[in-house]
Amino acid sequence: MAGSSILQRVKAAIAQPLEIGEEIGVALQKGSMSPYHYVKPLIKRAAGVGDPPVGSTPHTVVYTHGQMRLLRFEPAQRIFRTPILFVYSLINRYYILDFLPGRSLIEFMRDQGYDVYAIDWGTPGPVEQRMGWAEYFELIKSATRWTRRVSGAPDITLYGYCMGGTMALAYSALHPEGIRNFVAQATPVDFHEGGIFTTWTRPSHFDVDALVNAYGNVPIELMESGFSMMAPIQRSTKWLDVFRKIDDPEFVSTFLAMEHWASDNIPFPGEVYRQYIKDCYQYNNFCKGRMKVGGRVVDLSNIKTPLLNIIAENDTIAPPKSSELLTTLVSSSDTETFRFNAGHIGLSTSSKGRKQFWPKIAKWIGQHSELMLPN
Amino acid sequence: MGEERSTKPLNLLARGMKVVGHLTAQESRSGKVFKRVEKKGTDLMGRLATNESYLHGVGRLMGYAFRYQAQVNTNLERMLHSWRLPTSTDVYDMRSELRRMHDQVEAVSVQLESLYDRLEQTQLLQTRLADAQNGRAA
Repeated sequence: MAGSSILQRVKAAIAQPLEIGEEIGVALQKGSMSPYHYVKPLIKRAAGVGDPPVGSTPHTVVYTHGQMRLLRFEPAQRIFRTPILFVYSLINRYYILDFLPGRSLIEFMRDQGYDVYAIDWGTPGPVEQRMGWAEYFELIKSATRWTRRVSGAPDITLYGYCMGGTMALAYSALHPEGIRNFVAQATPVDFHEGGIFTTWTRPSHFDVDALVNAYGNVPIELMESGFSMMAPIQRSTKWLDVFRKIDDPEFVSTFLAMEHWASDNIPFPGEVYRQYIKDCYQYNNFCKGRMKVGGRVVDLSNIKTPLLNIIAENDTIAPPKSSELLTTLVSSSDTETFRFNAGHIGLSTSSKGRKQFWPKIAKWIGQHSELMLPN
Repeated sequence: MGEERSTKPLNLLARGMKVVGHLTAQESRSGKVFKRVEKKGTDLMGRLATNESYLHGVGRLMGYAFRYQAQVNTNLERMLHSWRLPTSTDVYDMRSELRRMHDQVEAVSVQLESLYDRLEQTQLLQTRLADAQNGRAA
């Protein structure tokens, strides 16, 4: 009996380092650039935690087109007739909006009685490589149509986040029908105030045509190296914080969840990347009313719906200066700006979200939404 | 967060990490040195990331690399096609097609459900209308 117990312990002692080695080996084989894939197996073993349950709010797929999926997060008790449609960026994955149970913006809005929908752009392949603004706006159009159809509501609250906000704004300027309210969260508008990315993408430094012609879609490695160059030292040294707090399972789990999302990069669809860099960062056409989609000019003054602009004070990706102009560019008579003491990602993942940020946002949306009629 | 410490005894790996963490924390002497080096490094990288000459040089190198890559891709695909071998693009297409089929089946079922709901609502409305008309006629 004791012999078999010792044998089991010896087996476990051998198996665990082997598992760690295997995981690291797989990461090496894939050539992963992010330290997450190499350090995670060690952290998990040391802290005794599992894989972070990111993006775990139950949902159904209600519409697909190519790689794009429209997800529905149905509330147990629907209070508002007006649904919310989240439009996420083409960089990284949508589930930062559905981060962890109890720390998910989507889950929070669903629990407030909203019928919530989100666009998951999926992983772009050869088809998406040739898709530009016009094709992506067609997808947003389909998503808004299906959101209205499935929810049974005549109009929706369009909620854009980061580059998703920029796309949703441009879409709303071209197709304002069926949009009741607009929420822009950490959305860059004036790209010449876009911080370090504006500097890096200047036409004199950065030949976007050569990049797209070489790779089609922008490879994960290039996207990752761009982000890591923003804070190359902290990218490695932040792991030492986890080492210090290795006996705090909640901290470790949240940290791993964040790193999981940050390292879950996807290629950026080539053609729309070319247009994004040129129309936004290089020539600021979006902000100046010169951006053209399918021959039509994107004029933000066409937006007349109530608009909420959410700004993160410590945002380095969409600095406050690049977002605050928005309310002056639209024609809406009902606009409001919320400024929160958070970073770009913190708006959707911070522990302060549930207590401080999201209730204010939900209240604003609620005041501008139609209530469900009693049956 | 940060206050809820585990009461479980730490394993060897965790203890090792704790030591490394302590040695690089502000509270220890080695940590103070580490933080100073980290700050210097961050300042240096920050200056480099906005240095015009550096950005210009890196940009030019990247431009050359992209154009070279485009040439390599063209030649490789041409060669594989001449041998009638599938390229990585072909394999990727097959894999994503499977995922797409799965999602579409799920989406169609939801769409049918929504259609069914609408039909039900219309039928209910028609019944009510007919009842109301009958009532009025009576």
